[in-house]
Amino acid sequence: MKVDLTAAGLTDEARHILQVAANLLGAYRLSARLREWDGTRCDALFVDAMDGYGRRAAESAQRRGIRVIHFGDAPAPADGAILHIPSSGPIAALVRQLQHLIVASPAVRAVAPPASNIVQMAVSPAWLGHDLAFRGGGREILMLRSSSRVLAASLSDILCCRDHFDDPAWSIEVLQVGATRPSTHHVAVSLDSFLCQAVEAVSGPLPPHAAGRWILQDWPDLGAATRQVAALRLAQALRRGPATAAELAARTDLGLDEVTRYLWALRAAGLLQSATDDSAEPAAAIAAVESTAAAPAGGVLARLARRFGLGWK
Amino acid sequence: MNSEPIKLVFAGPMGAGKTTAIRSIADSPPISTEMELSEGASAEKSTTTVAFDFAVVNLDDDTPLHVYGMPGQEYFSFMRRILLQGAIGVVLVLDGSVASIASDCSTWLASLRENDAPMHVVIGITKTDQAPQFSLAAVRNAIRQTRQPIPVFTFDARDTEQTTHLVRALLVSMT
Repeated sequence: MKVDLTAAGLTDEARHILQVAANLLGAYRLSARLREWDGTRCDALFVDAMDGYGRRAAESAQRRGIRVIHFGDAPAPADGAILHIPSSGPIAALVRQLQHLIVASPAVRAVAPPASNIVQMAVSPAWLGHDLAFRGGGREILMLRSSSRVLAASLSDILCCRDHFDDPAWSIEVLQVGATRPSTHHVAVSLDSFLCQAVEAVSGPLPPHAAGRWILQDWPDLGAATRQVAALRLAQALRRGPATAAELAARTDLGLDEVTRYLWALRAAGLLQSATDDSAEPAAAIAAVESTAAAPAGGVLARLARRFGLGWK
Repeated sequence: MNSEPIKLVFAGPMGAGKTTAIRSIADSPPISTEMELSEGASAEKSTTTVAFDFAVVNLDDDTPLHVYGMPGQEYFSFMRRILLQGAIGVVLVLDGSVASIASDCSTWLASLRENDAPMHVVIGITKTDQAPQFSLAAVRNAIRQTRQPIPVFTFDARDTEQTTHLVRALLVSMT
């Protein structure tokens, strides 16, 4: 599993110790990368909270829901949201703390993630299995899970709703069965692609999925999600059989955060089922069918993949 | 350099958009055996492929990927076995604006199974932007009958990125 760690305001010595500890996470089958904080999303940010730049980076990361760790020997600041790991302890203890922080205890996130619309759409009993309307700012889209389509009056309405999908001021309502659809809604796109793109616009981390394995009912329609190559890989990994989020991250070499996001999108689209759910049996049977078709030799497949932008080695 | 060609086939009914899809990913315009439609011509479609389309996509070591488009008409069905021989996979292009899409899907998947040993297939559905009533549910049901987890995407055959993404799905499904 890949782990993306960033650092801001650390001394050279603390940075070096953290780099060594990150490398040693390989013993736990975690491929950790440590880089300088650049304001983009990551799994955790390590700062020296006594340093001015470190504090500013911590504030910015906390606003985005990224967990922040004060990495130094000075006492932790009186901010309950920032965890403290001393930088002067034994390196083996430090590695164990990092491993525990990253994998064993996802609940240690410094900031509780907000109740995202996409999460609500996936789990709210009132919305499950229904077609929905998403409205705000004078715009409206209809999300039809029954046909896996999004309908709107214009493409700009769809793009605007996608960008505001996590805006709490915008609302979702159930569309009544048999209700007349507006005749103006003649632009249609894929619901699965829409949600996989919308979930990328959600700021901050999404909550982890409940323990247990997941199975894909049907292949998601990702035809318009041309930049979401990771979603393709995740769908294929789910096709191979039921898996937990962590297993999927290991199968695909994607970050756990990215896997979590796409799983929420696929759940919201109504395509993902719990493998322990009785109703998931037919889907499990489909996913368990291995194709009997012969694949081209590895070298040929790698050349094709490079040519078509999959970036395999 | 490996000069042994690799073969990819685009299949599907007449007018679904196979030639357009091939044109959108080929390195040079496809060689097409198109004839004017004797009946059913429209502003959008006045010609049809009567033998096959052929185009080349060069891989990074100059290995050619030969891309073939099957004729959609039933009376050219004898061409299918010939074109499928040695192909790495099939992109099945279906027209999302017709009511018969689910039966078209079943018919073509059965035809592909009859004409070749098991082969990797991905389905691309065109013209759904012209059909607000289009539902993916019927096509997914048809795929479930095959008990094969075949990827199915809606796409715009004129869009290079979307056609490329369909080929990516085919490659990912082979892993």
